[in-house]
Amino acid sequence: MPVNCRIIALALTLGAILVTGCSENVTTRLRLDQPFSIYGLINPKADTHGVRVFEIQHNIMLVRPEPIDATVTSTLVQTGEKQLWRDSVIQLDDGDYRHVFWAAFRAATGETYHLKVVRSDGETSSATTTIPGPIELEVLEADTLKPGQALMPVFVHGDPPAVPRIDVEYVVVGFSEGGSDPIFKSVVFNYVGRLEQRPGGLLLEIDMVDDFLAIFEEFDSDNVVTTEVIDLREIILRIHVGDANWVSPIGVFDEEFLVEPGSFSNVENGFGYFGSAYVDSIAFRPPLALIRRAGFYVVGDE
Amino acid sequence: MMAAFAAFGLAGPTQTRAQLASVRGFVSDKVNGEALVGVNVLLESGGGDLRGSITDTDGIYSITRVPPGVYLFRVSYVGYTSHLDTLRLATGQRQTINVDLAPLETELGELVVEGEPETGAARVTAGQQVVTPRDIDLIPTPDISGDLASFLTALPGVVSLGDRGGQLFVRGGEPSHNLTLIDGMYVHQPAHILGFYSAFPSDIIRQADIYTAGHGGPYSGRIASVIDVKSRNGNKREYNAAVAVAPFVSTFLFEGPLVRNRVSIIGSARQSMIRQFAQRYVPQDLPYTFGDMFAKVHMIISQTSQLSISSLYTHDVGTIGLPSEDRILEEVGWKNYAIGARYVVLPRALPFVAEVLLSWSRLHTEQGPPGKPVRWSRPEGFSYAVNMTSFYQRAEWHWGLYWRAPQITSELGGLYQELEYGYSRRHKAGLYIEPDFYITPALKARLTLIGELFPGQDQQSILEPRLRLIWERDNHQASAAAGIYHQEVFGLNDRRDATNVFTAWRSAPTTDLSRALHALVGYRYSLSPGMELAAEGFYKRLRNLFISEWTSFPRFTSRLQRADGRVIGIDLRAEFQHKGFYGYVNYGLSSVEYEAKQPAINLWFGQERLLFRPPHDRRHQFNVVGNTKLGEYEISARWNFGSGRPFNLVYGFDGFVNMDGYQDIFSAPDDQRVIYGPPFSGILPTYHRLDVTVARRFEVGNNRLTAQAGAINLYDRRNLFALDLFTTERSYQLPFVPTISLKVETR
Repeated sequence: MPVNCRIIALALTLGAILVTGCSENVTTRLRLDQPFSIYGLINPKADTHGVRVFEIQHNIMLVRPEPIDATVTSTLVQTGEKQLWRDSVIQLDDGDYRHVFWAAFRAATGETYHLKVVRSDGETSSATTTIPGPIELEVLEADTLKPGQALMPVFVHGDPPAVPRIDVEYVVVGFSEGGSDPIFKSVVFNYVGRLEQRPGGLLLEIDMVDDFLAIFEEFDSDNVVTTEVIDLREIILRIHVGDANWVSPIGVFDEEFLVEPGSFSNVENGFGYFGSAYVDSIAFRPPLALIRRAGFYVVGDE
Repeated sequence: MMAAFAAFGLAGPTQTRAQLASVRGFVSDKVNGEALVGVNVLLESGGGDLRGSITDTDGIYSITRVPPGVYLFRVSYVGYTSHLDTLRLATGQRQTINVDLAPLETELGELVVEGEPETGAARVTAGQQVVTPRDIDLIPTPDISGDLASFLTALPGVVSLGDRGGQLFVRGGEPSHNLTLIDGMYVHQPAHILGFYSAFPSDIIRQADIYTAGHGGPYSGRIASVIDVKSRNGNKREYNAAVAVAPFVSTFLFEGPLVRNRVSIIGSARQSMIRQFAQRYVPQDLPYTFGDMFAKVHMIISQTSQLSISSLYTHDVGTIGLPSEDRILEEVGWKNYAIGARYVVLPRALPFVAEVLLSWSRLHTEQGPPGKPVRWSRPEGFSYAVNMTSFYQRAEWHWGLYWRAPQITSELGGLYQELEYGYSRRHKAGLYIEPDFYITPALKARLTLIGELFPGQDQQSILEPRLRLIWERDNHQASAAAGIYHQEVFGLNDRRDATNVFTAWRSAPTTDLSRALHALVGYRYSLSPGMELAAEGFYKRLRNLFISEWTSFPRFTSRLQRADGRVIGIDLRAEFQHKGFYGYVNYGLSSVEYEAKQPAINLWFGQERLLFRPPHDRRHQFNVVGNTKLGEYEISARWNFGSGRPFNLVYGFDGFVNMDGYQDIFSAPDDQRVIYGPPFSGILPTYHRLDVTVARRFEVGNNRLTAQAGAINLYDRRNLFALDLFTTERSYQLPFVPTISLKVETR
C-alpha cells in the first residue's frame, strides 16, 4: 500500500474517533423526592416511644452523631393533640450512630396517631397508625392421650388486627452421657401464621413433638458429647400484636424480600414502617404427660 | 440405514473395502519438529486421479480407501519445500509415512502467509474461527509477544467490561458460560485481571479454535462458546530461550529437546511487573499482581503415537474500584491449576485416529479484605475423554466417550451474612457421534448427537443434537449451525457493581440445568486474493440462567434467581492484505435481553415479568486493526469502539430495619440499604481507544533482539470503567500509557 494511502487511512481513523462517542457524561443518580426512611412504633404498654429516622442520602450512609435536618411530630388524630419528638443519638454494637426520635406519652386502644418527619425545606415523610386492642392469653388443657401427637393449646382472647410474630421459647436443659455438666439452652420457634380463628379469639397449638426433634438436633450439632436426655423447664409464648397494616405482602417477614424499598411500608413520601405494637407473653410448663409424649425427659423418670 | 451410509460413501462391498489401502502419518517442521497444521497431502495416480487430506492440529493426515497402485505422494505447505515421493500401495496396505518439511530458504513476507486457507480475521465458518500466533501478535499490546486475550477482545461479539477484571462475554453469554481448554485441560477462569492478558501467551500457542456458537461434540458442559487452545510441542532439535521485559509483564520462555528428535519440553513463565514499572509512571492506581506458568513435555513414542503432558498455573490478585472512607475495598483473587496428559495414536490395526485425554483442573477464587479472604469457591475435577476419527472417502466420523467429575466447594457470605458453606459433586458420562458428510463436493454437513448420563443423581439423561452446514464454491462460502447446549455449573457474579469481579462457582440445581439454543447463518466472500468479506447473523435462546438475586443490601448475595435470555446479532468483517499491509475491520451489532424470574418480581416492580439489559449488552462494537512495515519497522495499530453498556442507577441510600414484629427501636440492629432504580436502566458513555506499537528486530549472531515502543490509549480517552454506586466516584480505564519493551531470543 502506498504511503499516501496509509496516511489517508490513518486520517480517516482519527476523523472517526473525533466524530463518534466523545461524550464522557453519564447520569449516575435518579431523582428521588422522598426525604426520609422511618422505622418505629408506638407501644400502648410503654410510656416512651421511639422512631429511627434515616435521611435518604446520595452517598452510602455514614450516620454521624451531629443533629440531622429533621423535625418529628405526632398528632393524635382524634383530639388534634401534638407531640414533638426529641432527637437522641444511639450507638449500635458495630459502632455506628443512629438518630432515634422519642416522645413520652401513653397511647390507648383505638387512638390514631399521625407521625410527620419534616425537613427544613418542607419535604415531609409521614405515616399513620391506630393502636391495637389488648389480648389475653390462656393456656388450655392439653389432650395428653392423643396418639402420636403432643399439642399444647393456648387461646388468644381478643381480636388482634395483626400478629406479625409469634415466638415460642423452650427453656431446656440437656444432660450428656458420662455425667458432664448440664447444658442450659433457650430455643425459639417462630409460629407466625399458625393461629386458627375460633369463636372469641384465636387458637395456637404448639407442636411439642416437632419442636423436640429440632431441639434435639440443635443439641446434637452444638455439642461434642452426645446429649442423652433433654429436660423441658418452661415454655414462654410471646405474641406480637401489631396494627392493621402490619402484614407482610409475602406472608412472612423475610428480610431478603422486604428489604426492597416500598415492598413493606406505610410511609408516605418515604420508606420504612411506623406502626403500633406490643408483646403479650405467658410462661408455663406443659403437663408432664405431654412433656414425656413429646420426647422430653422429666427429672425423676428412669 | 445401509443405504444412507452408502449414499455418503461410508459403505461398500466389504471385500472391496478390505482391498483398499490407506496412507497416514504426521507432518512436522524439519527445523524444530513442531506439528504443521493445514498441510496439503496428495496422492496422484498415474491416471491423474487425486486423493488428499489436510493435516489437523497434530499434523496428522489420513488418506483412506485408496485402490492399490503406484502414486505420486506430494506434501506441500506454503513457505516450505514440498515433499515428493513415489508410493507403491499394495492391496489392503495401511502405510504410515511421517514427513518433515523444511522451510524455504527465502523468507516469505513477514505478514500473513498467503494461501493459508483457514485463518484470518474474516475467516469465520459457522461460528468457528481458527487463530494462529501470528493473528494474535498483530494486536498491539504493551508486551512484544501477544496474548490470546487481546485478540479475543478485538472480535465482534466478544464484550469485556473493561481493561481489568478478566471477564469476557461471548455473544451474550456470561464468562462462566465459556468452555476454555488448553491441550484438553479445563481452565475455568483463564483471563488475567488486566485485560490484555490471559493464561495463553502467543508464544506457547500452536492454534486456537474459537467457537462463538455452534460448537460440536467434543465440547459439552458450556452454553456460550469454546476457546480450545492447542499448545506448541517445543523444539525437538535445539534449545531456544527468550526473555522479555515490559512495563506490565515480563516473560521467560524455554524450549528444547530432552531427547533429541523424540522428546521436547516447552515452558513459559510470566509475571506482572506493574508495581515495579508501569505503576511508577501511570497516573492511576494499578494494584494488580498476576502471572502464569505453562510447561509441556511432548514425546514421540513411536512412528504412530505421541504423548504429551501439560500443566498450567495462573494467579491473579487485585483490588478493583476506588477506596473510600466509608468502606474497605475488597481484594479479589483467583488461581487456576491444571495438569493433563494427551495421547494420540494411529492404531496399526484400525483405520482411525485416536486421542486419549486425562486431566485434572482446579480454580480457586476468593474475595475479602486484602490478605483475608472471607468468601471463596473452588471448582475442580477430573476429566477423561477418548476421541476418535475415522476417515472415509466422502465422510469423516468423529466419535468419543468422556467421563467428568466436577465438584465445587465454597464458602460464600455477604458482609452481613453468616458464612455459607457449600459442597456439590457431580459426575457424568457422555458419548457423542459426529459424522462429517461431504454431501456434494461443495456441501459438507456435520451432524452431532450427544448423550449424557448422570448416574446416581436426580438428573435426567440428556440428548443434544447439533448441526453444521458449509457450502463452498469459488469465492463464496455459506455456512450455518444450530444446536442445543446445557451447563451444570455456573459462576455467580454481582453484576450491579462492575468493580466486583468475584465469581462464585456453584452447581446448578439438579433437574434444572442452564440450557441454550444456538442458530447462526454466515456468508463469506473472497473479493480478491487479498480481500475477504464476511457476515454472520446469530440467535441464542438461553434458559435457566442463574444470576445473583437482586438485593438492596449493599453486599454480595449467593442467593440465586433465575433468568432466561435472548441474544440476537450480526457480525460484519472485512480483511485486507496487500504487499506489506495487513488489516481488518469488524463491526458487531447485538442485543442481549434477560428476563428475571424471581418470585418477588411482582412485589418489587409491580409486574409479572421483568425484562432488562444485562451489563454486557454492548449494542455496537467496532474494531480496526492494521499492521504494516515501514523500512525495518513493523507498525501495529488497533482502534476499538464500543457503545455504552447498561449499569444500575441509584436513587439513594438509607437504612433498613426488618420490622418483623415489635422492635426496641432504641437498640434494634439495622442494615444499610441501596435504593436502586429499575435494573440496569442507565447507560455508560461510549468506549474507544487507540493502541499503537512500533517494533524493530535486530539479529545478533544466533540471538534476536526485538525492541518495541508503543502507547495504549494514544489520544488519552477517559473511558469509564465503573461508577462506585456508593460514592459516585468514577474509576477509569487505562489512560495514555507509553510503553517500551525488549525481548531477547537466543538459540
